[in-house]
Amino acid sequence: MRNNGKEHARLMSLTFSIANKFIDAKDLTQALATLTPEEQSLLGILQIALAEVIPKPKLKDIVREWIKCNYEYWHNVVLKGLEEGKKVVYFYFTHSPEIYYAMDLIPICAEYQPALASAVWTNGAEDGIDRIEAEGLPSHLCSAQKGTMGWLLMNKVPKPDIIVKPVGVCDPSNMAYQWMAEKTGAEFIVMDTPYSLDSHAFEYYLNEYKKMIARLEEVTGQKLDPERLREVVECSNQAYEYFLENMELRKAVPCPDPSLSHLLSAGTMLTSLGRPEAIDYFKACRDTAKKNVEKGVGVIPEGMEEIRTLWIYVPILFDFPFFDWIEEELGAIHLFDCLDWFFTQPIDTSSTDSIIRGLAERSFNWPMHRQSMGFADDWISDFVWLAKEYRADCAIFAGHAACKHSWGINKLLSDALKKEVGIPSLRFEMDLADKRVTSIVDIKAKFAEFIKNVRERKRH
Amino acid sequence: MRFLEILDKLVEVSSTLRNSYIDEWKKQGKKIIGYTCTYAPEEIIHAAGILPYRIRGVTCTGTSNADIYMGRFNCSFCRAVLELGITGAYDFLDGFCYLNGCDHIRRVYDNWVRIVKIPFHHFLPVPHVLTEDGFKFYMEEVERFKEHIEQHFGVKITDEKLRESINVYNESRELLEKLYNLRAKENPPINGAQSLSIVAAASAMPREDFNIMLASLLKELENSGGIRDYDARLMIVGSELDQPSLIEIIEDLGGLVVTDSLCFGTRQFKGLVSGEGDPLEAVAKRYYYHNPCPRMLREYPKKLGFVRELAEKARVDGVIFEKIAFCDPHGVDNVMISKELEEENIPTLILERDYLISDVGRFRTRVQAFLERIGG
Repeated sequence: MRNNGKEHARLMSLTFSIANKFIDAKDLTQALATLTPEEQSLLGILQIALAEVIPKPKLKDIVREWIKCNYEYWHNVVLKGLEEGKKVVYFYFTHSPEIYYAMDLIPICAEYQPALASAVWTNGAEDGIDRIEAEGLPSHLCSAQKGTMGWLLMNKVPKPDIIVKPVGVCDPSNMAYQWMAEKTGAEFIVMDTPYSLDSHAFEYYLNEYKKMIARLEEVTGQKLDPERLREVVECSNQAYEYFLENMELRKAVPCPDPSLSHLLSAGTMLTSLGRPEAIDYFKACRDTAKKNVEKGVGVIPEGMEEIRTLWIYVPILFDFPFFDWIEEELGAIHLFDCLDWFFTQPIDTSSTDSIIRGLAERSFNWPMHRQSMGFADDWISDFVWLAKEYRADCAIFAGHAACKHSWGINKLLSDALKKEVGIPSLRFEMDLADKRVTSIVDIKAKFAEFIKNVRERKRH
Repeated sequence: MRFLEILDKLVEVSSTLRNSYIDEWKKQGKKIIGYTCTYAPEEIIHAAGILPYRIRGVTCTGTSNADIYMGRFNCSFCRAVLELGITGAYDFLDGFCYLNGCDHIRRVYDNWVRIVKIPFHHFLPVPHVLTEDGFKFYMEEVERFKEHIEQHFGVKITDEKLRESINVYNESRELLEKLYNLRAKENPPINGAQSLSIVAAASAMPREDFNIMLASLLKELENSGGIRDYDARLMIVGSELDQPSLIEIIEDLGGLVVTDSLCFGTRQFKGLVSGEGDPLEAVAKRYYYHNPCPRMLREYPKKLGFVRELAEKARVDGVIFEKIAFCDPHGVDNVMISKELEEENIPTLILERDYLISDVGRFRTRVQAFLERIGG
């Protein structure tokens, strides 16, 4: 079993090995010649459009570090870890992996596997999605879990020994994790999530987090080493501090921080927090933004008036070049979305208790977890605050088909932003990790028309 | 009242929102609190002298107003409920107890509190796990609910009143259990559509009146001949089904629904509140630990076991799973449980529907084919 399910990680490792050879290549032909036969065989599945976007000067330093993070993760954490016989833990994206790194486990965010595939491979996780739907599971589950579920059946991803699921954010993920646990026989650790954000609710969640660690210790037969945990979290803190600094810089007009980096950051939190390469990545983001602020420039073409878009739900993951397109063609910038707004402070590492409290607090306030698990009021107030603080010109509700809870309040969100901040919203249907649901051509057409209107409105 | 008279009355109660009992209740100046799912402790509302009323979507014919607030990916039952709220059909409610049963219904709350005017709102969150800590959390929420009712309505919910309410609701549960035992017989004296109407009526009228009517009905049923002209004994499992139209389609084609795992069925009434100890804790325990809804995690074996046990008890020839479109909890559980039953040679059929069933032809064809498959 341990040697099974390596296909996805092997392909990801190759994908980022190729990307690494191209990011700084001056001559593409020369770069091609450096590819191994195995790497060459993979070229056909990669999204070619990325090759035009990622080496752009505004992104290059950031993407270079992101590629390193991913290569390290897929090659050294996942593949090597599997070879060494380490246990695999699947975890839900609303918490970070430090605790698993501290326990020498292989942490795999079940959503990250298909989400990243949709961003870098032409057909993303479509084979996995089709496989699980052929099994009879509803198409209205989330593509970010369906891909992994299908790949489990196809033996493309490692079978988990342990599954950790904070509940609350949505039913599709809860049910997908139930299915994965039953199908694989993995130890299923559920962290219950209360419905509000008050201190009483947090204490309940903290206790659930502690129980999760205790259960991990039982299942793995190893005690959590406090010193190792401190090392990992201190490393994580360094990265996180750069991130927080970058969030402040993002307030500048024009925005100094490229839209795509926001999406990459959210992914990096899931794979690499607690590992040294994450520090380099978040430092690169900070440095890029800082340099731009110092120069008084943004990431949209000079001379264009900036339109600042606040994504009040998820972004589009299956087409990263879209975010370059909105900058270059429309002069629009993505400020935040519901997956990449982190605001908790670095974790106090003075004691094991304070570290665990800090990790639980970060998870409790994790993007989307914080907004989606409870009352609409919390979601609305967060995004009204963000719209004001970051001077948004408009809001974008990219409605992920699977997220029914978000569809249940999309109008309330839009109405509140209109009433309290005076900005309009664009709302459309799509699937964040499956391009077949709404094509990028359709989305671009709607988006361009909307931005045109926002610009005209702004001028008048 | 004789059999048909009682049955007609209960069907009438279940097929309308504001039935004659509600009118009478309101005429007496008494209050009504609506609630949305089987995790709402009815006894607490009842002990306050208030009528607990389970929210349903019946009488809704379209959701054009609710669709402004909820998307097409949202459950059509929830949109029907919001529609009825917006259009004033629930104006007779004096309060509403909302729960986080699923992603759709919890968003009905967010919209309802902003759009529909009701004097009392309470949100009662329920954990997604069955653990001691989870129970402690739920118990605290139940206490908060009780205190909120007491404060808002100026009543005192004493232990004595609570015990009386427990007796009333336990009596209901025992009567409904008897009804289901009769349905499990070789020749059940009542069909599935009628049974569903009875269960739905239970939460739409004063429970004492319901108990009297059901007790009389059971006496009649115990002595009646029973239904013989059916082709297959069926179980129905799935999401919110508060009106009998789907079961009528099945039974028109020769199937007879003899048991269920529905929240307007066994998941509502199975399990008594203990008469021992603190009555509030006993109520909370019963609601928290009752046969789990699909939303409960780490409870799959129990959910599967519940369906299997009922199917065996009622000696069914097949199981029909149904869900409202975009329902994830039932969407996954239905498929998982169906596969297990098929492996045990219990034929199954999975149907997806809208709350307002319009494509009758499609259902007829699929049910017909299923009945042929199981030799009915």
